[in-house]
Amino acid sequence: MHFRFACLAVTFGLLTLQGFAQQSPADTLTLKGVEVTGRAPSPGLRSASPVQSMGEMQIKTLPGYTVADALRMFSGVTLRDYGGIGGLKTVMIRGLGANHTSVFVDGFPVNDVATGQTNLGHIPLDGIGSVSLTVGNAMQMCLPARARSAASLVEIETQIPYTAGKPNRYAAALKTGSFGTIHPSFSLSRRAGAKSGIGLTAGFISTRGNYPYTLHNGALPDTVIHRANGDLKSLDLGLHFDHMGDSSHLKIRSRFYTSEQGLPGAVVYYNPWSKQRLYNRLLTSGLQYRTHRNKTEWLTTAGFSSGFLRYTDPGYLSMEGGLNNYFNQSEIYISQAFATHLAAWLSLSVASDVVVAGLNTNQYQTHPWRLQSITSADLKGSFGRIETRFSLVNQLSTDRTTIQQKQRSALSPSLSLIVPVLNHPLIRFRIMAGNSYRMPSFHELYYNLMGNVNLRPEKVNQLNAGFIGVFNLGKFEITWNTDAFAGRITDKILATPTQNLFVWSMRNIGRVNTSGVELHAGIQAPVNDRIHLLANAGYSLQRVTDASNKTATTYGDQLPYIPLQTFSSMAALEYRNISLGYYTLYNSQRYTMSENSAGNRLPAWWVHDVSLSWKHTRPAGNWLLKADISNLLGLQYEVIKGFPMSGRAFSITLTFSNS
Amino acid sequence: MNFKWISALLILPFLMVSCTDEPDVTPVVQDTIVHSSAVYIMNEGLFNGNNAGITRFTFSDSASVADFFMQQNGRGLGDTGSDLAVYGSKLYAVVNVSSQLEVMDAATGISLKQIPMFDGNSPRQPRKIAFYGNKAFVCCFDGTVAVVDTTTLAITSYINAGLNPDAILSAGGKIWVSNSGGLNFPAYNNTVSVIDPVSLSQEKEITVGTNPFTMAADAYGDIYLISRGNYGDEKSRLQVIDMASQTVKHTFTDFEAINFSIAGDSAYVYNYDWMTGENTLRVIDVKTEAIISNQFITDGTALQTVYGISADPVSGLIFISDAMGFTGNGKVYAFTKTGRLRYTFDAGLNPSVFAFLYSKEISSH
Repeated sequence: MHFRFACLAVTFGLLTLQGFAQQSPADTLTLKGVEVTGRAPSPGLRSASPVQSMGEMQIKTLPGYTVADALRMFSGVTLRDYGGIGGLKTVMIRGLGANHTSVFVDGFPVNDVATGQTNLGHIPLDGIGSVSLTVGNAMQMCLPARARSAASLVEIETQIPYTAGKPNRYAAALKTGSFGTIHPSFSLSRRAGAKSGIGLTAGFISTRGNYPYTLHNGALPDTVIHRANGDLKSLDLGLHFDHMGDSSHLKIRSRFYTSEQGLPGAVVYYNPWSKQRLYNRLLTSGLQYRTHRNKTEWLTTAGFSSGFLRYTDPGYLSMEGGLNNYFNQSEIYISQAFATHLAAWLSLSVASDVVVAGLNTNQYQTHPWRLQSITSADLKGSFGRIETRFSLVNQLSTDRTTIQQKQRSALSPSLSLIVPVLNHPLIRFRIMAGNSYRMPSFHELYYNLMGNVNLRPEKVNQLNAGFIGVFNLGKFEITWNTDAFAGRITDKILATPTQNLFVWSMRNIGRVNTSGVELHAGIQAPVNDRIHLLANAGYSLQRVTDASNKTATTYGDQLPYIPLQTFSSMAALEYRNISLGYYTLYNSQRYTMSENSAGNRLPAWWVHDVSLSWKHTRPAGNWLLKADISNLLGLQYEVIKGFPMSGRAFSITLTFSNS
Repeated sequence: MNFKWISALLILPFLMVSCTDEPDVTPVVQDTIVHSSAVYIMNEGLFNGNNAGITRFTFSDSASVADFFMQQNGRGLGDTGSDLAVYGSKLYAVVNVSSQLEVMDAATGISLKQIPMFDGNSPRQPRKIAFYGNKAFVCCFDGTVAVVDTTTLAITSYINAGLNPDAILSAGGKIWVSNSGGLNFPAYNNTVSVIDPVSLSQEKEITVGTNPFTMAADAYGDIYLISRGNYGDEKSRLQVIDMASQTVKHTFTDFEAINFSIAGDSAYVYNYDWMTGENTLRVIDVKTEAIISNQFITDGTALQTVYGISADPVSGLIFISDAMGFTGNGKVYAFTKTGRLRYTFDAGLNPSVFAFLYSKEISSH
C-alpha cells in the first residue's frame, strides 16, 4: 500500500470525522464506512450490503507481512496464496474470481489492467489502520464510480499520524523473522501549519523464503525439502500530504515500490530446479479533494500509475535461451463524485470516472489502450430507520489496438433495503440484489496465442438477505449477522485448450451458480480501564458450482480451489501495556480442478497464529516489542496444489516512535 | 510409444528381431505367433500436477489398473508424461516436466532404473523415444537426442538436433527427429533432422511444414508426418516424406489433422476441432495415399475429446483415448478396423500414448 507507519495514532477516519463534526446533520451522508478506531462498532451494522472490517486493534496484533494476512480472515473470502512473502496473493469473494473485487487504498484505486487482479502481497501490512470488505454496493454515498462497479470492494486505509501531539513525529521499526527475513521501516511526518501535514515512509523487506516442507510421494519415505528460489527483496517509499480545511480535505499520496524475487514454482517430482525471476517497479500518485458546502459533498480524485514488470525464465528452452517477458503498463484516471440531499428523506449521489490505461509488452502482437468511462448514480431513501438504495452503474470501455477498436458496455442496477425488525435488542433485516460486470483483462484479450479479442464482459448477479443485530450484555457489546446469498456468473471467461494442452484460449463459456450462508459474531468490551477485549468468529458455507454444460461430467461440481466451508476467528486482548492476539483459520477440502474427483482433492487445513506485544512508554517516546508465531502448530498445507505453505514461522518486531 | 513401436515392428524383418530379450543383430529365422497380451496407456496428467501415470489393461481378463505405475512402484511417475514404449523386455516412459526416463520391466511394470535427463541443473525436458538396435534415442526439448544403452541403461551420448524436438522415429535405418521449434512462437521451426544411428550424428536437416510433430512410417518407404502449423493461418496438416529422397512429397491440404497411427496399409487420422468440439476420424490408404473414409466410426459411438490414437497391428484393434474435459479420468475405446466399438475402459488423467505388450510363442523348426 501507499504508506506505512509504525506509530499508532489517530486514524485517518478520525480526522475526517473531526472535520465533518462541525457540519450540519447532513454529515451522516458523508461519514465514511471506515472504522474510526479499532474500538468503534462496525459500521456494517447499518449497511444493507454485507460489510466486514478490521480495525487498528486487530491489525496491530495480526502476524504477517502483507494485507492479505488480514483479508483472509473475513468470511466468504478465499485467498489464493502461492506461499511465501513473495507468492502471489489474490482474493476470491463468495466464489467470484479475483477480477470481481476492486481494491482502494486511502480512497485511490489500485488496478492492474494486464490481469485485472490486485496482488495483495504487494501491500505491506504495517502502517495499515483499517481494512474493510463490502459485498455489493458500498455504503458511503460519495465515492468514485469505480468503487461501485465491481461485485465487491476492498478498502484499505493507512494510518496518518499528524494532528495531535508533537509537530514532528517519527517511528522506526525493525522486524526480523524466520527464513532470513528482515524488514526495517521508517516513517516521518511533520505538521505544517495548523491544518496541514506532510510525511514520508520507507520500508524494505528482504527474505530468503527457503522454508521447509515435507514432500510426499506415494509410499516413499517423506522427505523435508527447503523451498528454493523463494527469495524477495522489496523497497517501498511513500510520500503523503494532507490539508484539512473546515469542511474540506485535500490529500496527496505517492508511492514507489520496487522488488526483485524468485518464483519457486510448483513442486515437481524429481526436478527441483526453478530459475524464474520476477522484477516489479511501480510508481503511483494521486490527489483527492473532498469538500462540502450546504448539503452537498464533492469528491475529486485524480491520479496515475506506472508499472513495470519483468519475468525471466532462463530455463525456458527457446532459441534465445530463455524467456524475458516485460509488461509496462500505465494508467491515468480522474473521477468526480458528488452527493446531495434532495429532500429530508432522499439523497442522491452521482459519480463519473474516466480511466485511460495502456500496456506495452513483448507478449502481445499489439499495443492495446483502453479508455473507460464509468458512471454511477445512487439514490438513498431514509424513512425513519428504514433505508433503501437504488443504484445504477454504467461502464463503457473502448479498447484500441494497432489493428482494431472494440467497444464494450455494461449497465448494472442494484437495489437494497434495510429495516429494523426488533428494537430491543436491535435486529435489522437487510436485502440486496445487484448486478455487476467485469471487463476482460488485457491478458485475456491479447496474450499471445491465448488471448481472444472477442470476449464479452463477465456478468455477475448477486442476492443477499440476512439479519444483523447488536445488543449489550453488561460491558460487552455483541454484534452478529446471518446472511444467505445466491448468485450467478454468466459469460464467465474460461481458458480452454485450442490446439493442444499447451495452447489455451479464453472464451465466454462459463456459467456458475453460487449459494451459501455466512454467520458472524463479534464481541468487544472495555472490561475496565486496563483491559480491552475484542473477539469475533465467522463461518461461511459456499456452494459455487459449475453450471456451464449440463452434459459435462463437471456439471454441478464445486469450482476449483473454493472450499465449501471456511471458519475464522480472532481475539485481541489488551491489558495495560500488553496486547495478545490469537487468530485461527480453517478451509475445508478443495478440488484443484473442475472435476470433483478424489484425485483432484486437496485436504482441509487449520492454521493458528498468535502474537504478543509489549509497550513501554518513556518520556522520549514509546517502545513496542512484538513477537509473532504464524502457523503455530506447524501444519503442512497447500492452498494451491504444488505450492506448499510455510510451516511454523517466527518474527519479532521492535518499534520506537517519538510519540 | 505407439508409432515408434509400430515402426519398430515394421523394421523387424530387417533387424531380424525376435524373442523377449533385447533385439539381436544376428539374423535368425523363426516362426513366431504373436498376440497382444496387454496395453499400457500413458496418462499425461497435468502440467505441475505430479500426476502422470500408467494404466495397464490386460486383454485376457479385461482387467484395468488405472494407476499401474504407482501400484507397482509405490511412488508417482512424475510430472507430465509424454511418451511410452515397449522395446524388448522393457517398458520406457518419458516424463517431460520431471525430466526423467523411467525404465521398467515390461511384464511387471517394476522400475529398473530412473534416468535423470539434466544438463547441470537445467532440465532437458525429454519428449519422445525411439529405438534402433541396442540403443534408445530420446529427443529432448533442449535440442538434443539422448542415446541410451538399452542393456546398461546409461546415457552414452547426446546428439544435437534442431529446435525443440517434439517427435522421433526409427525408420529406414535412420532416426528422424521433428524439430517443432514449439517454444519459439511465432517463429516455429520447420525441419526434420536425419540422424545416423550408427555414427550417432545428424546427417541432414530436411525442410517440412511448420511446427512438425508426430511421425510414423508405412511399408512403402514413406514417413507420415503432422505439421501443426502456427495455430493461426497455417493449419495443422498431414504430410508424406519420401524416405529415399528425404523430401516432402505430399501434403493433404483438404483436412486438418492432429495425430494419427498407421497399421498395415491404413493410417487412422484424427482431428479435434477445439472451437466446435467436433472429432473427425479418417482412414487413409498409405499405399495409394487416398482417403478411404472420412467417418471411421460406423456404429455411432460418440467421443468427447479424442486425445490419442494407436492401431495395434497384432490384434487389429484401433485404440482411441478420450481426455473428456482434461480435468478428470479419461477413457479408452477399442474399435475394430471397420469402426465398430469392441469395448471401452477407464484410463487416468489425459490418456495419450499406447504401448502394446505382446507375448510370443516361438515355434522352432
